[in-house]
Amino acid sequence: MPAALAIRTEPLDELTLRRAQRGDDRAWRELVERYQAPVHALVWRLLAGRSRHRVEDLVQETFVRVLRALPSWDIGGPASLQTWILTIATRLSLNELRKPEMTTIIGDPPSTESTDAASERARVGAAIAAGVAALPDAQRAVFVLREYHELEYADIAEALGLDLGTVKSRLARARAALRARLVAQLPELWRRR
Amino acid sequence: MNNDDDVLGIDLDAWQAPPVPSGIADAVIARMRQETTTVTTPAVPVEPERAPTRRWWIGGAALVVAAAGAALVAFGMTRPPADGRGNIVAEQPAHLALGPSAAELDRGTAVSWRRERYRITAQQAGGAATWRVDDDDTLTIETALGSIEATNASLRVEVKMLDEKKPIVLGAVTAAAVALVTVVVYKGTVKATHDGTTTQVLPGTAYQIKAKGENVFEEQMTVGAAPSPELIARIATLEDQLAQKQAELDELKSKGVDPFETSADPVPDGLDRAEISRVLHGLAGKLRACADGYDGKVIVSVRVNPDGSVGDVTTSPADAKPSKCIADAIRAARFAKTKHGGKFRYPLVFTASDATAAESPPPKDCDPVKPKQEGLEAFARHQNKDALASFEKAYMCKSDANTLKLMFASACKLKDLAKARSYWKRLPQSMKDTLIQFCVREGITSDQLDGP
Repeated sequence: MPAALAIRTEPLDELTLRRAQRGDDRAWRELVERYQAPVHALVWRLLAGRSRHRVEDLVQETFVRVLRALPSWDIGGPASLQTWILTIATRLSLNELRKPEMTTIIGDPPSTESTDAASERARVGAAIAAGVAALPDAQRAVFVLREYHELEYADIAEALGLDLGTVKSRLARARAALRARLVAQLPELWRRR
Repeated sequence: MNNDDDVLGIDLDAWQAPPVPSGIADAVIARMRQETTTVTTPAVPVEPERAPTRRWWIGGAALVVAAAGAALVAFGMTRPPADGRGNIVAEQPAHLALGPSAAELDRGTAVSWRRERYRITAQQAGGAATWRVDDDDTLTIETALGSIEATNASLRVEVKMLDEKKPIVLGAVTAAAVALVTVVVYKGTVKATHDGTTTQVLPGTAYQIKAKGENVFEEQMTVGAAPSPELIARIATLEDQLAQKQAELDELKSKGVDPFETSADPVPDGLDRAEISRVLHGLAGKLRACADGYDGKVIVSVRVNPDGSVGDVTTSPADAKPSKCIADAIRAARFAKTKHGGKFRYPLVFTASDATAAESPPPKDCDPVKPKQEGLEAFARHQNKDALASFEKAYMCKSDANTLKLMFASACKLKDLAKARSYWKRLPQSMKDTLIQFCVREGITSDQLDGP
């Protein structure tokens, strides 16, 4: 799956990580540039349809918090660096969604490709975006972490402070809601199946 | 996409995130360096989210903690955040921690602050900042044009300079250098004071303080937040009350009584919102006649002389069909006398229904007030079908934008795309950004609303 492969990032080598822990600028840069794509994609999807103008700020804020807390992060611990960073990004995004602030709805950019396949893909993408945006925040977080970032159930549970059963039930509800919505919006896609 | 149990059976990768913006690493590193040199924000460890749980003992523990807290308060043992002061000119977006309160500063924002127990006094010389004020704190933000006071609130303050290219220097900004201060309130109640006048700014509204001499017009406007049904209903009621008062005033004037003309009243310094509203509402009939089927918005910019006569009128777009007629109508208007006169901009929104309504007036016994009130009550109870029917009935008697937006909101909540689309096309653009969220929440997109 191209998107998933793009989001899974090669882990940072231990030497760079240790330099980053000591506050080395170059190591910090390497860390940010290594993980910015998955963090940006995660925040962008979690804020789907809302507060899009805050995505870049939250990505920055995620890394600032990561770098602040990095010296005390246990390199030999059980959690992967990527999972830890995504956890921070998720919590910041959920906090943002709880704020009673202005929300801005900005449509996804239309595809510039002109083929039928591209156009259909863009339509499916837009329908998924709207469907995910309509999910309750708690379900959306579980869904995006699982489907787009391949986090294990246990990691999602830890990231969101939930128990395993809750993660599974929220994921099942999110999938069911999204499926129902997509079937209603794109019936021809299901008829062709 | 994870395919472990591909229950969706659809290619989720069709929803691709956009490319990562450039410069994130630079910005992050700059912020980190800034923190260790100039900004005194402490490192904030990421705390685990408090997951909701049904376990009684956690609730019990929380009660014990709350009771202990209450006891401390009762015995005056709560400790205020430490006093302190500081200043910052944010070269990058920056977080400013002020104990339990905080500010998010945009790039280029200049702020100095002082905390004394629960009172924070800040000077925002320039730039934009989003402030979150804890319920124990009282924040006063001084700007060159006025001050803003907030508690238990979330607000954004933007100080726009006349010369935006000039770097902002703390302590050196005078009123002459500032063009405009905008306060947007997201939560809580905020008071803005300038020229000895204090105005309460409600959540979901914005307030502007413009430089004296250039313009003293101020207004509350709707901002992008999706208003709650309760707020919509409240605004609608207030607008109705305003319209009723306006009708009473018009009636008095038609009898030759001018309630504004009293020798005892001092002449005000400049134009105010009520006066502008009074005059323009009085012109509503003429302006509607100018529309003559025109569907769109015309913004008028008007300069009023101290003697109340209109000095200058420009319209945008200047070449719109009704522009000349509108300018002539406003030029002939008369405002109350003021010491300095003033300038204002006012958007006039015309819809095709204005012309229709003018051509075929509703029956004389048609009452828009009662059905609208019934609609508001139903809307507040989330009985959207009844609400829509009542609003439509009111709209047939009186085609106003206020009722139209209520019809749109109700249609969205009912997921009635055809009706929502029909009302959407008639809504003024200025309302669309706010109101679209009623439909988006129900799964109706702007593309669907804009569709044929």
